[in-house]
Amino acid sequence: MYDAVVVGAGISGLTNALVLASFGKRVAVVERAPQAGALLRGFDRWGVHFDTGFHYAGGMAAGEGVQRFFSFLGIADQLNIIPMRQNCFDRIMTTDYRINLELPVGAESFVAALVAEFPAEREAVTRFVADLLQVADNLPYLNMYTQAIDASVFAVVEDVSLADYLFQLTSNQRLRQVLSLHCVLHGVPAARVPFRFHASVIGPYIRSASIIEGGGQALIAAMEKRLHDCGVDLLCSQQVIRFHLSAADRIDGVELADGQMLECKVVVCAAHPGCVIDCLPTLMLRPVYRKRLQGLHETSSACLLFARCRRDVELLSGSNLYVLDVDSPHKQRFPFDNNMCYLTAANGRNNNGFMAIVPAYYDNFTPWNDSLTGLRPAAYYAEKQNVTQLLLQRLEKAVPQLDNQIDRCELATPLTLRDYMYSSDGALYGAQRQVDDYPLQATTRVEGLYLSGQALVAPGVMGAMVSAFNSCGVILGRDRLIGELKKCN
Amino acid sequence: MTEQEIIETINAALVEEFELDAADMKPELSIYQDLGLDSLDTVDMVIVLEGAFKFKIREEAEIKQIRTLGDIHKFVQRKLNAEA
Repeated sequence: MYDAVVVGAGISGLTNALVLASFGKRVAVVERAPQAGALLRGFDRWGVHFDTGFHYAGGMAAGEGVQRFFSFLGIADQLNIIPMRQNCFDRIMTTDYRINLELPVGAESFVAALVAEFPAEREAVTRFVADLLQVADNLPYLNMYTQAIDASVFAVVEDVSLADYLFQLTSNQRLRQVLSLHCVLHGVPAARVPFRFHASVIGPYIRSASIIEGGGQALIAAMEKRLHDCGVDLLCSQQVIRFHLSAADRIDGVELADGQMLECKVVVCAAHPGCVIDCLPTLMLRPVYRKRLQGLHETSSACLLFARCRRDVELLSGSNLYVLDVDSPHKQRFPFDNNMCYLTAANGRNNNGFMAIVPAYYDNFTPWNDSLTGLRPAAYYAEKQNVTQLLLQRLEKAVPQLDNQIDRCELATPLTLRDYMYSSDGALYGAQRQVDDYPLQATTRVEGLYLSGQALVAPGVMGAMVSAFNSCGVILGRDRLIGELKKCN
Repeated sequence: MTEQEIIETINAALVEEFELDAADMKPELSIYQDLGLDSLDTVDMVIVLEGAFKFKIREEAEIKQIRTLGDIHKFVQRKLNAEA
């Protein structure tokens, strides 16, 4: 008999499990993939480790919120946090070579760098950064003095889109494009993403930007060890197919695909919230709520280019690169809706490889929808080759440091992402938050069933952890959880 | 839309989306005690009304004051009048 079963062993699910376990709960985590943290583990190819899931995060510097989470979870001593390049954690380049902007850590420096590039826009830039930080500095649980997330869903829905916000802010179109580039970090286009949501994902980087030594693998290893020490059962290659309810319609267990039953009092669903529909009898959810879950829009998908280089790419050492395509000649042939490309080192240790992420439509790959990784038809591979060539040309032209440097590369398409992460439509970050949408809450109408994960709060390691603390706060009592969190540092 | 049409639209939407009994849709009934909605349903109620009338509801304080089905009728009517 478990106190809680957590569905999904991504960062959010594992954090939920560890928080509940730290309060003495007996917990099991059920994961469909063969291992926990599939995306965070990355993979090795041509002697290069590609850290697919974890590139950089805010909030990890000493005294900051994520660092406090690590302490609380008992994994801080196993993680070595390495700051990104302080004077240039992000670089923004345009394909006409006119902009080569180095974004430094720290509010004042960050503003100064943008003002140096856009001298007439001091007021707009200052206001933008202040507004980002106003949100980022007050994120629940990262800031222990902030109200609970569920306090008012109306405040959240009232938000404007990033595009509308920027339209009010400045008439400088190039600046608006530059300030929208970070949308790749949450996968929602500027016209659809609520400003506050964008700020909660992007703002923390202005305070600090760091990586973990050993990347996503190190984070997963630390969490797995801790799960083991806390007596949490991790069941991989297992799928929850049904939530079992008592006569009083209360959660009393879950049924796995292999027929196994796990008795429990609480289920935390840290997988895609849409999963809940299939696991419950139809009558348990109101039609309106079912439609909300079914109607969740997915974040954008992407093509990811994994490349090995002949030499170290110094440009990407401790620094990410955003390339803004200002003369996009490939627009007609490219299966991408976006004019940008995000590059990051293959991992935090070596710079002899990198990953390039280009937002892309799942629809362009639907002809091969029914195929699985490794077993797709020839036409798919031809299209993949075509996209790879276009992307390479574009990159080598836009980034002179990469010209003739790439010796091996391989493309992942939206279908690869779908099959690898069990994400519908190959969504990079699962379900998206968009303007006019009421966010889902952790509590559901089914007693004992809670939602968690990036769809509720924000994506990325930070967002997923905040969402886990939020859900556990609802389960255990927010004051009680904050009280324990305050003891950490 | 006449007053009667507005009431019928609201009732029909709530009956469908919350699986309520059409015979229970009496204005004096409490949506919480009598119709069985709870505080979690408030957001869903707002979503249902937004869908039925194609407007956006941002009046949090007013929504929180709603107790009876009749309160919903009056709220929607006030809102449609204000927009007209």
